[in-house]
Amino acid sequence: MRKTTLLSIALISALVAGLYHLKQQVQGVERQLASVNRAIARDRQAIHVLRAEWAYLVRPSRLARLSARHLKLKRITPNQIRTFDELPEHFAPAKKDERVEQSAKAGAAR
Amino acid sequence: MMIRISARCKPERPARRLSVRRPRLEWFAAQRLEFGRSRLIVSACLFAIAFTGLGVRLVDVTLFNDGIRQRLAAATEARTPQQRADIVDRNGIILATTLPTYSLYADAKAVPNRHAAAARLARAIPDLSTVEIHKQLRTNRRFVWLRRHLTPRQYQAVNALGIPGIYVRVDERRVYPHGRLAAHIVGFTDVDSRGLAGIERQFDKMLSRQHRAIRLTIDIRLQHILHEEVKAAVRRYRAKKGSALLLDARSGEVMAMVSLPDFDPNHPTKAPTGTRFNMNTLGVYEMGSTFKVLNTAMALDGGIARLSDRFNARAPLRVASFKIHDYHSMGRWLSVDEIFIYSSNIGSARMAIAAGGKRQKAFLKRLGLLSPSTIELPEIGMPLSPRKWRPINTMTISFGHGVAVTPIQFAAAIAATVNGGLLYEPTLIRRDGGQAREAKQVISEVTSAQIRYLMRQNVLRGTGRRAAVPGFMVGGKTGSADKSTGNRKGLLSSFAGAFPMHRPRYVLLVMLDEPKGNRETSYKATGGLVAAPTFARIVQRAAPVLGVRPVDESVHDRRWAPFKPGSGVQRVASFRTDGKGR
Repeated sequence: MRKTTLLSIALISALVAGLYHLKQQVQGVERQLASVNRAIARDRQAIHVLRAEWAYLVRPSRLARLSARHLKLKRITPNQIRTFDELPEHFAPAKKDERVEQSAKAGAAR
Repeated sequence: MMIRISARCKPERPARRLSVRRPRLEWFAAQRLEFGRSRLIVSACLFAIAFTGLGVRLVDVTLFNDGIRQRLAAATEARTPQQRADIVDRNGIILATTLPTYSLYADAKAVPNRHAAAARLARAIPDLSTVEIHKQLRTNRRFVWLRRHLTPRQYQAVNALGIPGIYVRVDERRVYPHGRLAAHIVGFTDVDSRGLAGIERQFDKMLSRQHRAIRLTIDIRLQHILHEEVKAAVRRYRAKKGSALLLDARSGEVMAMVSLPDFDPNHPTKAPTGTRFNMNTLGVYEMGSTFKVLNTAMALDGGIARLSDRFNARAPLRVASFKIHDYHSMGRWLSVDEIFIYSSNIGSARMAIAAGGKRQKAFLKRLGLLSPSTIELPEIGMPLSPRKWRPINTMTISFGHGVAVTPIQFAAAIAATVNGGLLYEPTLIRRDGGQAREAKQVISEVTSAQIRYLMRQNVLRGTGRRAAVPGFMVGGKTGSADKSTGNRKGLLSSFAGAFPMHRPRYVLLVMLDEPKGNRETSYKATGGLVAAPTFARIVQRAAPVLGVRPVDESVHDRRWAPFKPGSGVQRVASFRTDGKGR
């Protein structure tokens, strides 16, 4: 009788201590989660604003103005557009296996 | 419990012998005890069952039930506030988005010194006057808006003032980064982000509920090209209005659509009257000679005439009190292709009469020109057609007077005549992965090939010469409609065409309302002189963006040979439109 009482008291106090500890831990993790979630929401909002800013900065009229100021490029004319087939032999693009090799090298360099 | 009760009963037993009445009492007590005991057993069992149930459930929830954990995790995931969805162009460039802003309001009762507060606020927000603010504060209400959507600088300034009763609240505002570039398509919202025009209005519910952006078919780069060129043309020819519309002939997708004058959707209330009018979808116009494309298609498709058949165009045509003239009169009989290339009204009228009013009406109906367009915009014009289809109507309609249609539905009809006869409903909404769209066969493949030939010839040697862009195989038809409204004589000059003509991919329609000629055009302002050059400029800039490769035109033009009048129409069938058969 005594033994079982003592045993159950010991068991209960162990459980209480364990539960308290667990609860504390969970609360800590929850606080962390909430703050991470807040940070995510904040970052998402910032990304959203930056995307709008980007759309504003790549306005075709602005790009045209900047291009006219900084690049000495003229408008393309149809006879400037050519295909690879029209090029002489030695200007033709690299053969398929060569290209694969080159891109593999480029990938390794990166 | 049970033990204690029986213990308490024990001392009563010795008393049994003291009275004769006791045995009855004892029996009675025993009876009650039995009762109590069985009740206790029953309730103990119930409790035992309940606790076992709880225990099982506890083990189940904590050890075995994984689903609930996932649901819990989902519930605690980061959530961004529900905002109105974006509108993006076909490449994902933002056309409309919602940004957080700050709005200024007051609890009028809580503001201590209203005069001073109003004066200080007016200094912080320059475009708000002291009088205005004071008037708002005098209302004595607990909530009055002072200013919606402060700029960050103004927000800072107001915050620094620290006046009691003046508060700032996080608000949101619709922003259009590209401004007026796609104003008529995207539309705009009111101050509370409710759609009032364009896509914003058409898809208002969808935009306010879902989170995913609406992707349009337009390309902002093309929109810019059309905008610039139409603007330049309107200025150069001092036109009242101008519009351009670029359509994918093989899907009905609107690639770009511009109507001038336009407005800035960021400040819709400041837009001058008339600028919100979208010529392309809301305006209905008598298109003039560009309509001859449809008239010719009708005659050829219905077997009324062949390309080589001739019609009398020697003298003006008199019908009742009307007289039908030719601008570029040849004074002789003209074949169907000549009627088209030299844009003869007389010849067209005679072709229409040969076909008959009934066939003409049915044909226009089949092309969707007698009912409103189904494009996804709230601003749709109702086409006008004569209630009673008299022969005179049939004649004038043949060269584009008497039926008024919206440019968008007209462009779709033109696309059908050049793409092999398939009518696609014009659309502004891009489908995921560019799925194929349904179309209706309205004219035969053969007729369509003949129309391509005629439109190409019109640019090579007819009224549309100024629309030519070497390499891009432009074909089309000019139009100069007399505007019947008002007593002033004005023209609606247009050019409807497609490129590249051997395999039409895009249809472009340019319109200028009441242009004036200049020295360059010898003071004339017909479609061939003002709209065709604008068409050419747009094609030259837009074709590389669209990925249309320039070709050696002479090679392709030689292939039209089977269509030359008199060489027999049977050979038409051997001409493959898909470009495979060479």
